[in-house]
Amino acid sequence: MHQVDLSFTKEVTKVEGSATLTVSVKNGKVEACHFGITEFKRFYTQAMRGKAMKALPSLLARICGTCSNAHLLCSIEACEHALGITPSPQSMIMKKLTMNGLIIRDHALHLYLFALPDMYGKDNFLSFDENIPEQHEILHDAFEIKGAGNHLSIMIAGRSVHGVNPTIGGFLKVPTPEEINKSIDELHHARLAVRRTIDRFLKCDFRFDRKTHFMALVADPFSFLDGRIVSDAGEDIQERDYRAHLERTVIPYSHAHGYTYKGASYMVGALARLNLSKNTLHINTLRDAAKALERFPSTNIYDNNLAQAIEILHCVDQSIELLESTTFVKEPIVQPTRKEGIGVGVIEAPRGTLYHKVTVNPDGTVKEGDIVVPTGQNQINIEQDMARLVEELLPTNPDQETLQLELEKLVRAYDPCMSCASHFLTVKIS
Amino acid sequence: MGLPSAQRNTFDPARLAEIQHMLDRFAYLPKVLKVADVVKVDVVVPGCPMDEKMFLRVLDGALKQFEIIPPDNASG
Repeated sequence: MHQVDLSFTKEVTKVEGSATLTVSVKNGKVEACHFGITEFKRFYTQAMRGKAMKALPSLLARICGTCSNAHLLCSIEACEHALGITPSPQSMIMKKLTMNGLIIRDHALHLYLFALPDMYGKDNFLSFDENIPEQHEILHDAFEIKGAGNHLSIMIAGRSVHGVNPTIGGFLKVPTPEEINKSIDELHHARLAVRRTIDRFLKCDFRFDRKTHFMALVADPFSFLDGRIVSDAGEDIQERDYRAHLERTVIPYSHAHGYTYKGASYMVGALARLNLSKNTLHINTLRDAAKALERFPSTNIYDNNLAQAIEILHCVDQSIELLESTTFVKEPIVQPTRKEGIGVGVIEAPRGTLYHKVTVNPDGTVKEGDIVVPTGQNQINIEQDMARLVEELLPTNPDQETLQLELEKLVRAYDPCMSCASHFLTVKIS
Repeated sequence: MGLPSAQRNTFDPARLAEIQHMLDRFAYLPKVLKVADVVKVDVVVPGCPMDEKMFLRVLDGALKQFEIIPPDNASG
């Protein structure tokens, strides 16, 4: 009997959090395959109780340094629903633009800094050679797209991370005409780079097909803010009923919870969104990404990358249209119509459906709250796929480096919040 | 001590009792510590979010200190 241990940390380009993958194989069969989220908990569920509701969104934005503006808007929506606040049409446009800025820069971060190096056989993004024209263009495109998304977020939300302008009932500041014109120019320029991004991921031949359920907030037109929670099994769930439909699974080796739907694992994120509602994308996106959109609906997990690239184009196209067609004026903050209540916010964050629930006391403090994040919902799928991939690869007698790389590539396709931290692998072959 | 990372330090006994099973299962320390309580810290960039100009200034200083890029007064 021999046993191979594989444990390493190298070329880490961490984005958010840490994770472990433990695989145990015996006689060609995978005995254990654990994807553990080992980021230490900060116990928000307990900490939010008793806090002033007005301070809740900015507190919960700190859950994530990557998609903080999604948590910010989701918490604001939950508080607004709890207190009977209807945001103005302009506020809804600004929320859409905040989400678009987030999606543009967050997807670009994942695609270029984490997924693309795998396609080019490189350890990391900095290994691309600026003296080779194709790679120079890749470096340039990454920063141009991320820059356009960052600047859009800063203009609308005040900051690209932990925005200061969105608040319960509206926005504290509106953009100036000069800022808007500058952002429109940036988005137009970045659009060419986004189309090249779609072409790059359309050419990717990575495959890992699996049957699963897909779930997302679905609306027409395509939205990260509005709609109903829909699954490919034909389910149609109202926001307030989300908890009854998701079953929480305590995973003993993980600091996070996994979720199932009717006893089965499911997937959220860009692939789920395009599988369920690709036809509602912006008309210019439908025109210019037509060839890539033929790939959907897809059961290839790697098409999550292509779906993200297409979503960037949608966000650019929708943002240009909204910025060109809206005259922004300073508005009063909408006041609550009641003092207490229960509210649910549902947002399509970059990595999938995000749920915030809050119960507000009559004195304006938080009685209790609940949060379900996308990576927790994908966690069980990731584990199942890891186990299957190991079984598929073992007959080819892969060396440790190959096995590790193939597992990490698949984990990265899910874009978990801790994608780089999944470098911690322990493979035992006995 | 930075919040919200250290927010469990402020919990009352009832709230601590709720999370005790997680603290036990993953061997959390009794209290969240500052990084400076555990290792020597040379430079601090406050956050979150951090000031990106300050981060770049600190990073630039470290790169020069460890001679990864030339110091300001070096030729070439």
